[in-house]
Amino acid sequence: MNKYIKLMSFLLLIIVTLTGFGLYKAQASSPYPELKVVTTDGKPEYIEPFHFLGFVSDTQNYSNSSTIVFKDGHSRYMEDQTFLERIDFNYNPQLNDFITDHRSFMRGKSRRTEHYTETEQHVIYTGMESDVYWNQPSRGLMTIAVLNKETEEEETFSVSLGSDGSYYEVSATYVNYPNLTILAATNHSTDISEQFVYTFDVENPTEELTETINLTQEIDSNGGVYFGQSFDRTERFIPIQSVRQTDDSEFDYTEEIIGYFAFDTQMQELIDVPLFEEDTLLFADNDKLYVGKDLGDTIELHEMNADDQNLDLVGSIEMATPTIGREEGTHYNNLFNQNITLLDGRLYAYETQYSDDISRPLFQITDIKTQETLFNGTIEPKDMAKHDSTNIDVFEFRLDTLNN
Amino acid sequence: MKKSLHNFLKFTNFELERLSKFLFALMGITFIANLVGYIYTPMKYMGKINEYIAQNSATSEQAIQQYGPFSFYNALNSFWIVGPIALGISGFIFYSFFIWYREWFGKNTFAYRLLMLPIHRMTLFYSKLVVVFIGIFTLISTQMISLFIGYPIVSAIIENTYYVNQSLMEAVQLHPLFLYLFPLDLGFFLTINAVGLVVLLVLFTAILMERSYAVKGIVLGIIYAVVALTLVLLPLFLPDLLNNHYILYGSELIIIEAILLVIVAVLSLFTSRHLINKKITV
Amino acid sequence: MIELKNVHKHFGRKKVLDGISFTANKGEITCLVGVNGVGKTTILNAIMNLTPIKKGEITIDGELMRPDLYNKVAFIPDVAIMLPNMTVHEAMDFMKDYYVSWNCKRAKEITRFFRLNLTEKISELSKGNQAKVNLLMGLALDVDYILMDEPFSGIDIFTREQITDVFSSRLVEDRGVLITTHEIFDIEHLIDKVVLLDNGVIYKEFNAEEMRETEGKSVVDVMREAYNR
Repeated sequence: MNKYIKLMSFLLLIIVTLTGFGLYKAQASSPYPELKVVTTDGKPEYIEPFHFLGFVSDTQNYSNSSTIVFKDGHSRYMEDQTFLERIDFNYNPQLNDFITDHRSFMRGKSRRTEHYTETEQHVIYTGMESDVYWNQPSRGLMTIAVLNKETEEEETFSVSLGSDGSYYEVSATYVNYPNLTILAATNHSTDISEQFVYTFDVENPTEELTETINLTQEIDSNGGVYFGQSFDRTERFIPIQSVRQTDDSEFDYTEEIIGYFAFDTQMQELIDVPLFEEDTLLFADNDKLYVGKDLGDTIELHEMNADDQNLDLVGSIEMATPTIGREEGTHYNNLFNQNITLLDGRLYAYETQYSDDISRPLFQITDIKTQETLFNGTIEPKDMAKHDSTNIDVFEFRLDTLNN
Repeated sequence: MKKSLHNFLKFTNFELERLSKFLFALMGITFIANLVGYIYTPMKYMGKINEYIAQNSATSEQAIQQYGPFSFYNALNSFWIVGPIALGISGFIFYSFFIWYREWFGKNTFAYRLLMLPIHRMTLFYSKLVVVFIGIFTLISTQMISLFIGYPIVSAIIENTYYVNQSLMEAVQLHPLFLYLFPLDLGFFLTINAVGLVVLLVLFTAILMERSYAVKGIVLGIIYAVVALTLVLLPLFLPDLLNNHYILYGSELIIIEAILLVIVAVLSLFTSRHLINKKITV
Repeated sequence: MIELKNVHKHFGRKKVLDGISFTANKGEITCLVGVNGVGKTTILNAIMNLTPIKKGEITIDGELMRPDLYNKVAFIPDVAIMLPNMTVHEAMDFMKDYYVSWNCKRAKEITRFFRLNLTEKISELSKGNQAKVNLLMGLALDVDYILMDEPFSGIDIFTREQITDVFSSRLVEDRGVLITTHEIFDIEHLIDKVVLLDNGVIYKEFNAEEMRETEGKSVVDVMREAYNR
């Protein structure tokens, strides 16, 4: 043994120090708090379609922070995932689900949620070639891929949007199978980005997409054409917001909403939506169009007849806070209603609440017919006494009614 | 088998004995430089603060506004801490060459004795490899111990008003160098060490090529290193070659990389074994 | 028996050994002679697998060289091969650690014979004493064969005598010795077999005593003959 004295001493030093460091690290970083759903109103099971990625951080010990996945009413920390799971992780809950369920279909396709639409039978992908390979000039080619979820069969089309080298950006694709309505922007004729609506029939595919309408020209918007956030994209109507931009300085501008429109994917026409004097909200759900009058504490919701633009009052929905869902999110710059949406007869709203510099997500789910609050509440650490300095921030959420 | 292990331990101990002076010197430099850093850096900061307060008859809030508060991270991010780490890294890069060439180019040609020892010649190879790693880990351990000594020193020197009460772990986690050196994330730490091991295997193989074929061996060694590097980096260019950035999942890329690293490692071991047994010249 | 069969060796384009075949037997002193650069050291290195050969085969008692055979064949090169900062004692310990054939008793005997100071560092020894340490490291091994490369080069006359004595002592006894030297005078009377190398080939292989008795020529005479051709 004496012979190996040097070897043994160095090894011992290393083992003791590394083990000591490991133990110190383990005790220094207290385990991440377990989270629970706190229901103020309604029933907790209604929160299940809310599927989000969040960030849990400790204001006292910032290095003790982690990303969290909240799904089906349960949360899971990024640290609990395996090394390989973490490497494949996308900061988007829908893409993670797609990759888990349809790994082969997702290969080689972009990682932007607006390029995917899921229906009960299909997953449809509409992404430009330049979305997956941006190191070459644009050939204006769009890949349309349709996955039959039941048979796992995949059909892929490559269609042209024009070969003048312009780049196209797909904002969303609405599906009324086999008809696709594709919203895409480009700047090929002017300096300003223009929004187009294209159609494509999966069962009668063409080599080029059919341009239905140039929304920017049609709406005569000098600023921007924004679309309503949809987690479903099988609705008949596409809510559209037209904004005017005023330059305040060389680097800054303000935006003002000047009008609301809806694009009817069945009739392929643009419908003008009347504005209230108060703030107006516009939603689409299944084959209906809703207009809301934002009164702060309540939203007066009307169903709009697409033919004569008559409004029928559905009811007055009480909101959990005067601002919930109506503070514009900044995740996507061409979308409105990022934190409020109507889906299958329910209104979903979200906002971040702050009290004593601690942030918490607030969720509200209301049945629009009965105006009953199905859920109103938040998510917080189970052990509040121990984790009173824990922030919970949501940075990407979706509604998954198909799987819930 | 038992005899081979015995020989391996014996020779590793012997190699470690030869490394120990160099290693003790590096450990000493690390400790002393760090200690200077733990004392000098916060004292310099306090000096500046006091001078500012005295010259401008300012309050401590104003002084903080001028110079910012002081945390353990500020002490870590100084030359006195980063310098010895850089010295240690360059020291061991140098030592990886030296551990072989000293046998030929020292005052005496010890290579004769080593190659004539009645043990498998690969034992020499493995021992030298392990010794480099033991050296590196000893320095890492030294650095760790030093941090635990430095933490209370820094907090004692800086007055509470100016001190950001940051835990030792927080300061370490903020520092990019420690992310590479310390096992802060096990997966990352293992990856770094696996890559380090393969790099060392390739380097040793290239050295043995030079020792076997002289000038021709230098060219061969460089070609081997370049080919190994290209092979390992090739998957990273696959998305470009296939015109699609999402053609491979990150996990697949990692698995391919791991397989390639294993291939390069095994290839290096077999090549080295062939060279050291059949081709090497004293 | 150490046997070389058709051994070829090149340094770049230069042929150093061009089909060398000979044997060195146990109980005999075989001397490789030839002018500088003729490939004598290369042959010894090749036998010990310290340099690769291009073609041919070298066997020790019918076996190819492998690690445990270093307990059977010892090589004493003409350069110092123990670490300079080792003391003589440490060098002996090192040898004892690795070689089962290390004979402690004999090692002590040799240190006494050479009057070596065990606590002195090798780097601090005179050239002659360093050569003696080299001899010690080889001779204290209970091996069947000893290879020696130029044991007399650069050594003073008294040390030379001591080394010469080794050849006639029981330190060599019935072992096989293969020695290279171009200073043949000192040991000519002790040599059994001579292998004379020239231009990478064996010019002549003969028994030194027979040559003296039958042709009346010394080894040096034969060497002269070879180089004056």
